[in-house]
Amino acid sequence: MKLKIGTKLIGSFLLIVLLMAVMAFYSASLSQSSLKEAVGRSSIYLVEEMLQRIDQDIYLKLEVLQTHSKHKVLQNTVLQSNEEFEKLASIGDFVAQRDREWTTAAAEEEVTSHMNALLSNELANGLREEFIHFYERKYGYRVFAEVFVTNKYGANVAQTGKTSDYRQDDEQWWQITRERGFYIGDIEFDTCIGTNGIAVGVRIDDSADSFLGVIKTFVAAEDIIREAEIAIKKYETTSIKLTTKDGKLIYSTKAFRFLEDVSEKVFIKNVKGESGFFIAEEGGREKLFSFAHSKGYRDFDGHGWILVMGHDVAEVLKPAFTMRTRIVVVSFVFIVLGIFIAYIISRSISKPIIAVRNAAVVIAKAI
Amino acid sequence: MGILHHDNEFGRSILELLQKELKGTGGIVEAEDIKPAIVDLKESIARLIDMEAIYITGYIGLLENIFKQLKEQNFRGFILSMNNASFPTIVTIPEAQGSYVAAPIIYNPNFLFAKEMGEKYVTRYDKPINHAAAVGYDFIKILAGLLEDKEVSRESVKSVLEAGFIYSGVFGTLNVQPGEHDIVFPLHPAQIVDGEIKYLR
Repeated sequence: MKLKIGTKLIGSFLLIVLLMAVMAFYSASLSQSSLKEAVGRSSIYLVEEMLQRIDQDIYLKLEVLQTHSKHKVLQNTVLQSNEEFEKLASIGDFVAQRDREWTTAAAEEEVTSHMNALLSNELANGLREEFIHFYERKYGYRVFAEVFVTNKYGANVAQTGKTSDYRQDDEQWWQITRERGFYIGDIEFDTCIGTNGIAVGVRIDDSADSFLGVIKTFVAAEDIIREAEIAIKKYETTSIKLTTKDGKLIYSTKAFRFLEDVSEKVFIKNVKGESGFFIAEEGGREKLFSFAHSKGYRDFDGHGWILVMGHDVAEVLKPAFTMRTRIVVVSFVFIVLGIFIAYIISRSISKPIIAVRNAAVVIAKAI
Repeated sequence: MGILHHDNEFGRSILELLQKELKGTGGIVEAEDIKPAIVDLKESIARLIDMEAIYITGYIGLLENIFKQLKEQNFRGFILSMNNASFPTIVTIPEAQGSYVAAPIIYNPNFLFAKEMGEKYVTRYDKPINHAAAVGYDFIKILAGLLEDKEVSRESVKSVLEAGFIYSGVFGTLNVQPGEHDIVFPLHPAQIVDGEIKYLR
């Protein structure tokens, strides 16, 4: 097939411009994937940082309790209670009897004189001021939902609010605290307080490290998680979901149902491995999700919670989308401009050649 | 204790609640209702002037008027009021200083979530946030969260709200139990001091 020289020139120009456009598109798509990768990876760091903050904050509450376990009033009250119990003929029978009276009264929402004594003694008032009122005044919410202290026989000695039972030594948390020195429970809903949180227990030892009793608190979990959430940098559309290791929802930036099973939801189904990121659709929007598992802090092993952070793809990849749109516009302009320039140049080259060819034809005919 | 309240269903409900609460402690409530068109409250205040404390309730404009007139009448007892008195427009008037209010957590600078949201609000609207705006913000967020991945219809809204939920927003944590028909935005005892809300507990 024979092509005119002008067509060849225009074709060559167009080919170059098209190749440039293809290259630009390829670069844009490459930069989009790189940006996605970068945002995904940096979000993993944010997720890990947030989880570490949560675990660190829980641990900090444990340390507050550990420090408090050495206070003089607390030590003296528990010591005195232990001495009184040691004088009893049968500690077991006494505790069992008191526990029966206690649970009966508690079920009827009654406050007995015995309960009242434990709610209003010097230690209880001090605990209420330091753990409950101080934080309530400062932050406007309870950091510690309740605090109570037991003697070494598991009987309540002082408390900031009414507990459901008097005897605690038959509870797993109490036994773990006594054995290990501390206890950090998984998140749960406490019906007595009407909120969800984490039970934290600390063994009370005297100066000779002899076991005196246990102090337990219930830490409001939502506020710990929310504080950690505020501290990390995020996008406008960032949403956070925290679940237990078996996929029960314990926190969300949006309204949620506590302990709802979300293991079949897209943002949990794609969680594979210790950490990572993926793109999935949620609520009709494409989202970039990053996730990690909690690993604990110091001698606290953590709960293996899964934190999933999602951002709208449209927001995180906005720079790449803007670049792609610009490349499309610029490529179109360049193609049109290329056709025009190619036409002008081809005309300027082909015109003299055609004139020479025509002149040659005229000369040939004259001969 | 005296109460100055609007002569409407809301005002009367507050009166009933106050009477019920004070009855238990042996207190007496002297009530003065305020008709919508009445601006001069001298006579009502005069009848309550010897009270140990006066509880005032009403819309923001009315509260401002009551605070000013109580001052003019030289009322020396405690002034207590509802959440409307914690609006920045009331908190900053000299006549409201020293009064006790039921305030939402949103004005607590140590509550970082609300602080951050308040800063964004100022950047966007060039005025401080108040809890009326915050209620709107929280409620839209609640609905958006509950309706995610669900059909948007009246039935759907009804069913998600009736199922109960937890939401951590600018008013703290809202914990609505299944079947509950009220969403209670928590209020905290506070005092107006130096043009600011000072939380007491």
